[in-house]
Amino acid sequence: MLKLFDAISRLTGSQKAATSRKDFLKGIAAAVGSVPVVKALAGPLLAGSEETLAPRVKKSVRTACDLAVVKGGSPAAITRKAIEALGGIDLFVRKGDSVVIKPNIGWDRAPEYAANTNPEVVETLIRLCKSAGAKRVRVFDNTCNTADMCYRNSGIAAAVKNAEGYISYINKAKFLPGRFPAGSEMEDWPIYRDAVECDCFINVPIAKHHGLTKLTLSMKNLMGVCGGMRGRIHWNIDKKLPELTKFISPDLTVIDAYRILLRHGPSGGNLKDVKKTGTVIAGTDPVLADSYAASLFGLGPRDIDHIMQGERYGLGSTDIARARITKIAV
Amino acid sequence: MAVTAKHMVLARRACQALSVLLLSHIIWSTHYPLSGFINPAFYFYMDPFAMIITSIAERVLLTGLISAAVMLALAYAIGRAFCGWICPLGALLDLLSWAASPVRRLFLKKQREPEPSRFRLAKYALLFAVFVFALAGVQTAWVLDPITIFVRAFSFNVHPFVNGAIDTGLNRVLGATGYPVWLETFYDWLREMFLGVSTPEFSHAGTILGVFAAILLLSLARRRFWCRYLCPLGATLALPARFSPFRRNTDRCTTHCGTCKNICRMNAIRGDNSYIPGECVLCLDCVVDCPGEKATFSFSKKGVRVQPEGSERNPGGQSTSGAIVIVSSHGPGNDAGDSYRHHRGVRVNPDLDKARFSGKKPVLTRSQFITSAIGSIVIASAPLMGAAVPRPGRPGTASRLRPPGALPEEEFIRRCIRCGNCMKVCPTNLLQPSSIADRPGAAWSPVLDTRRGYCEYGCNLCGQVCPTNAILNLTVRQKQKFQIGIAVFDKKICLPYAKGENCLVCEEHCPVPEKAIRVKEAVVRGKRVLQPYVLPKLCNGCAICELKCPTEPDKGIIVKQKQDASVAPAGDRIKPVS
Repeated sequence: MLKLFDAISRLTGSQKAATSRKDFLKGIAAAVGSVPVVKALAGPLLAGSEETLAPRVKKSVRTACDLAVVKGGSPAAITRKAIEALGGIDLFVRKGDSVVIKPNIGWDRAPEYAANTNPEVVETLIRLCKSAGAKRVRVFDNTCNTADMCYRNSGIAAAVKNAEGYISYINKAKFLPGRFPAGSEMEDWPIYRDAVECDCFINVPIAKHHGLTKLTLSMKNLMGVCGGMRGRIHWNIDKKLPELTKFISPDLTVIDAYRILLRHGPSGGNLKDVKKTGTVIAGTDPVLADSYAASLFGLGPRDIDHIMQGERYGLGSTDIARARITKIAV
Repeated sequence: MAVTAKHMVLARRACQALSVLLLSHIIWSTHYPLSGFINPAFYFYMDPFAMIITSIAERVLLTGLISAAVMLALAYAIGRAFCGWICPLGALLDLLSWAASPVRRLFLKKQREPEPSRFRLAKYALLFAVFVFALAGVQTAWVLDPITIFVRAFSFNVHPFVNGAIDTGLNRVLGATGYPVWLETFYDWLREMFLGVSTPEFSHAGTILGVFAAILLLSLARRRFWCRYLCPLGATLALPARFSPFRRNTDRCTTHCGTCKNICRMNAIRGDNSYIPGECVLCLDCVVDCPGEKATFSFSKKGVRVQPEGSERNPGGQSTSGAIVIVSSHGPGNDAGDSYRHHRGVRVNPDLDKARFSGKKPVLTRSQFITSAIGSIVIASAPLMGAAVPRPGRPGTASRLRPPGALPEEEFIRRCIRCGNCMKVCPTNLLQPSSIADRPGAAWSPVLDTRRGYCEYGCNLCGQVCPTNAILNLTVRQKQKFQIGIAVFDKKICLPYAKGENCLVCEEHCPVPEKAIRVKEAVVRGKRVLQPYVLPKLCNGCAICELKCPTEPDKGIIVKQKQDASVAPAGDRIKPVS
């Protein structure tokens, strides 16, 4: 130890400081002179981005049924079964694909409170995508509460890591103005780049109560890919949500209704408001999936304006009676 | 090989560096989920000045008094070693003096330390003034406490700047290169491990930086200017230290060459070789650099004995005259011991200077290299830095809302030492230093800027990191019930009232499980609309409703102090819709 100290002392004390004023000023001049060079080199880094985002195109997939509704087992088992009933994950995910799974991680609440998507549902979906050969399965949400608290306490961060998915906090620099139809109220709304630039988008909301839209389901869950002052989406929300859903065009919608929040949504916080229904609903038609999920609350599509608007907008069908629905009890 | 004073000096430097790194680490880790291995209040517990003054001002026995007593006992036992070995601000001043020594040498041709100045008594006067104020119940320790000054500057300036520079810089690179997977993975990893989700911004950061910078710059005029003349913590420690039996011993000095007097960073040594124990910070320079090889400088009273460098290696000694020894044995550039004198910017011996310049001159000396390297990096990266520096955002807040768990206002101001821990740890950047102009007595104490952040429902971190319990350490459940203020709707602005449009962002975000914001159905201009209202009993004033309210520039809902919120029972009369 002492030898080491001696060595250090020899190193640190071996030279003399003999600066001349001329040398010093020369150094300053060189440093000042290098400013334009650095500026030129850094030019591209300093320039602002003018990129915009084009809408996603939905995959055309022929599923075995329009909607799979599985009830009764663990969140993992019913999720697995639901995807199976649609015809398997291979319909949606090819080898080497980059997949986005968008759960609801909006609130700093534990899974039991049914404010966020069940972490086991998310984990199972990631495992399925990975087994189909997905290269990267991204999970993110633009949270309402503090992001690190939401990610951690929802259990989703741990679930994603278990399944070797990729979870990251929203990076504000990655919001780009979306090219919505001209005249749309959503025109140039900032949309998260990763939500659009992916091979497969899987929307995984939790079904719960909401003060304004009565329920928050798959279409409302997509607000989590929006930036800007999101509260303003609430203004005339029933028209905006279908436009947003069209823009993102989720290839697959998996609604987690393992636990549903009946009152005081969307943030909840009281276990008395939570009902365990043990259900997962999966399909490619977001309107149909939302319509079916509404029935769990004793509501019909007609009670929820944005679902009706979604049908009118051509996103899907609210007709549960005519749809081919596979119901499975595990 | 025995432990020489040289080893002790290296140990001191290591100790100082570790202390700065440790405190920086503690402050950096002061964020959710508070996984740092040391509580952010730790350094304040080592600070008898802050602890005693706060206790007096508030007439309360803080737990920190125990550690404060230990520190005072230590100061009696071994003197102001805290100042020389541990104090992070002192360490920074030493580092700065060392780094700036080539510059100082250019402009100050002959710097010699004068006789110890009576101005050193100023720090006792300051300590006394703070003490008198404390007796009168006014807390002023926060203005001058060195630990607070360091922590505050780090939390409000260094951390946001470094964080912002890395974050913005990396994001520019990411954007320009199209988000390559490997770089983005690295960036996300860095955010999770190091940067955090977002870079905080603080109002009044400029003033806070100004105080810190002034203290640093003063050390260019005189080494450790702050510690010599102003530091009230140093004065506190000097009170017992001056009676310490652990003393510098110069009995064996025969030459009185004056070297020690000139190199003493604290200006504690007189021309007659006596010294002022209360000023000595035990840096041990005077022991290491004593040129008289027979002349022993040692701490000897209590049997502790630190031998000077060289006495081991040259037991016989070559000369009895210190001056001759210097010239003969310190050839240019080959004796390690010699250089100690030079990179402190103090010229010790004119003969020595001649000897130094007659030798082979290195192309670029170490300190020159370091100074010019740092200078070039700073100047050349100015354009990038300029892009990275967070823009001075909104102006300061005039809010008087206090953090959850804060003591009643007057007590709070007396206890709060403005260390900034609560503001650093606040995950939403809600807590901000209040302005000096608004109320000088309450300056820089934490207030809620509800346009920047909101109080996170499940968070109680500010109470956990407060070193003086000005913010009580509430459990999460207690904090959720603590009423910071009450939300009040402004019906001229709130959309469902003012324009009859649906909105309900406030109700959506309200974290109270039973919802402190409820909804009623109304008809405005022939349109059915859902109107929100507040249940004041349930509202804890977390202000997420105000932050997320989408009206601009004025918000449709504002959190007010309890006494200001005219508790209009508008909501109570109306039945909520389920």
